[in-house]
Amino acid sequence: METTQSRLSGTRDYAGGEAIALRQARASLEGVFQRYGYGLIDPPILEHAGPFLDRSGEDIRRRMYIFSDPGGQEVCLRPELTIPACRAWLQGRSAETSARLAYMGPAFRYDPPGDAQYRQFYQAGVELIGEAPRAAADAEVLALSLEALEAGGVTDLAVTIGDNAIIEAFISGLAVDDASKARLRRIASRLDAPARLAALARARGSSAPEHDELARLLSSIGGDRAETLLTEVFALVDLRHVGGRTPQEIVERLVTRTSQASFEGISAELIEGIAALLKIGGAPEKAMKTIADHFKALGIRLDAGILDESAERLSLLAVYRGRSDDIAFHVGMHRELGYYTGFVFEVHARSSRAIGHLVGGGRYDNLLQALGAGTPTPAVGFAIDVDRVLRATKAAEAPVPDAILIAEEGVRADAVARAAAALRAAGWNVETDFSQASEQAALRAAAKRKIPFAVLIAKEDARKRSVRIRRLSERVAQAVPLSALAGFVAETKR
Amino acid sequence: MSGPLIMALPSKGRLHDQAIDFLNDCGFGVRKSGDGREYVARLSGIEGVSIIYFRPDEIPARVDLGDAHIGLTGEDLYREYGAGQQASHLLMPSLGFGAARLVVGVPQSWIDVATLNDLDEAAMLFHQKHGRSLRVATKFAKLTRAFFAENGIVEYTLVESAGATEGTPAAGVADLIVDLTSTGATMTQNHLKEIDGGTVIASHCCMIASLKQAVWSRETLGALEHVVEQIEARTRAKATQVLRFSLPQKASAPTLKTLTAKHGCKVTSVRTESEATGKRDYVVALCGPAKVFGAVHFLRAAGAAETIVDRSEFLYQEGSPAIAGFKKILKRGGED
Repeated sequence: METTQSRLSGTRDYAGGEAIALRQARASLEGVFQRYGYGLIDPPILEHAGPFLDRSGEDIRRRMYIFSDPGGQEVCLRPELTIPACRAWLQGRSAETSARLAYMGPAFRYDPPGDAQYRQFYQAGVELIGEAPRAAADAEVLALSLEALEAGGVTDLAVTIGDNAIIEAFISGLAVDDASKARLRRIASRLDAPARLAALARARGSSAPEHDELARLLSSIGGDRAETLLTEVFALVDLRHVGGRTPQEIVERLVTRTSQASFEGISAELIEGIAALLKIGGAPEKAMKTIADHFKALGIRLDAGILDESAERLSLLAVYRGRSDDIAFHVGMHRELGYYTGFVFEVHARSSRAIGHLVGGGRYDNLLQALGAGTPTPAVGFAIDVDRVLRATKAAEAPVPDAILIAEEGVRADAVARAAAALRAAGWNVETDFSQASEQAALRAAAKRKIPFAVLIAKEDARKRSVRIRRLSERVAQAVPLSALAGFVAETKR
Repeated sequence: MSGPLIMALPSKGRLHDQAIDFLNDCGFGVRKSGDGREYVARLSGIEGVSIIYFRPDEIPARVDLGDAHIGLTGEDLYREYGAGQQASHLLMPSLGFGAARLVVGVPQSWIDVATLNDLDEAAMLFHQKHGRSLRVATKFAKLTRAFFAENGIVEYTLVESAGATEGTPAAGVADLIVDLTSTGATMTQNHLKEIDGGTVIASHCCMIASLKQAVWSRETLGALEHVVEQIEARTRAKATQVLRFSLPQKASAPTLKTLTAKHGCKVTSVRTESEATGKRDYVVALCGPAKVFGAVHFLRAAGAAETIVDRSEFLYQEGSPAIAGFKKILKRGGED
């Protein structure tokens, strides 16, 4: 088999029932989006790579399709649609400061060979942009995503909610310098946070890194003089400074690296405390209580507003849905997009968890400003992975025509075409049999495909401008003149 | 397709010289291309094989396309410029020459960067501070991307360098590099240093084979089998020494058992002869060079009067597993 004739791995061909199912899923999702007042926006597939590189977070960045086009410009295939939708809205708006956007379309993320992920996948989602009561906006968006999934045919939902504000409150409550906090935040935001935290707790205060004494000296003299000293040392040993990092940056990092390596002021207990916090999960009410206890046990203040907002969000969601037993709260729930600032969520199908989450979403209050909004513009949204939704639901049957038109050998093509046109005009979906198989074989094939009617034309019929129609489940055929087809078809449809 | 098996060889440079020396050492009889302007050649030591010269970095694509059945080039070049496992197969991963290391090189003045983790953090801080990413100059974009992705380093932009990569940080067009190195001298000259864990790939010259089914025939596959088995036999012979000795027959069986089990030797033949002093077994055994001395000592204690150690030119054993594997993959139309 030639490689050029095979599908790229990580892509899929939609055909038959699957193609129909994809179209139906899109239509039903769009219906739900409209019911909540969200209007379609359709940005291009090709985008500048910059905004994604700057904002999407590590997991996406390393999987982007980026290339130089023939004009030498660096472009990418969009890895998701939130940034394009926000960009498009910002670019096209006049004076509005809020919007309800819905979008649908393919997105692209590379996956290493061997992973079962799709590299091209179809996303459908919404963004609620602008100032709004936070809990109410969050609840609306989450409720909308669940209703959309149900409309798409997934009924056994399992919802997981997280809130980055809790992790943020914990880290900013620690009694350590800002550089250490920044480092802890970076670690906590990564997919492999537990492993990295464990490594940090182990390495704490152990072996001093290279140039430790120099770093201590530089940090004790501080500021411009430290930079000057380093530059002079470079000159002394004939070390030419190359590249774009300034000596000042090197000094800064050398100093912070040393203080972080020993992590003066933070105990191993507190580092493990972050890891333990990330693990808390379960039924929302119980999880909230465990979180409050955890903060108290480690002596870190937790703003009551954060848990109150979570509770309000959940109670509003219960009003929208009339149930809340399928919701779990998980502090360390990791979203692969880097721009989320608070509330995040994912939804799985209980019976097919292995497919991965069907929906991912959350609040991203800083993204629009970073994309050039000018004023603070909070937002919350989600994306449904439509391919996964289809895998989680039963595949639709490929539709069959109402009738197959089988002509006897020697019947002129124009007579066949005339009959086909008349049947279609009468309202049937008709397939003309071009197989040149015998009538018996053609009938057997049609019966196998569960096509309800066979329309037969012999030379005699053609001359009389008439056809014989027979239900494939019956043996008798009925002669029907072309002029009477409309009535016959109408009769069968009743 | 009928016609000879076409072998692509590097047209110039160190790899050209080394590849020709290697093939001649294996007994194929290749003439060096004197002025570098010859593009095809024949081998005198084997029938049905012809040579075509390409730039080393061009060879992977030529083999992918089937312009050559097989090619000798650096594994680094294969992984960078080849279309991958669907197009060509890494038939012999290392031919034992052409060593090259592709490494990350950062400015020596980055005294805060000694490991990949340091680089990751420095890159993130740089991005936060300057609003742009660190620039990495390299000729190996694909390998660099894969390596950085695997190690979670994401804040960088690639600057493809056409000329001397190692000079780009000093020239101000890049902040660090990913480049080939042998001794590290060039790096030092350019005020750069390696970091811990910064080896992208340690590669040797390898043999790759086209997976384009249409170019293969019974004849070309036969010629390939000949080439590969001869190279393997030569490589094996160079890594093996032949021991010849005789033992009193009554002590022979347990001695040979220990020789195999404890000294890693492989007994290939035993011939018993009656002599005036009694029956003696004349033995031929194979041994890795590092174990020869121990084996000889042991044999002396067991009554071997003298042990002759020499090398064979070629050492053929069972058929080549590499060839068997390749035929299977070719039939399937690619690797998974």
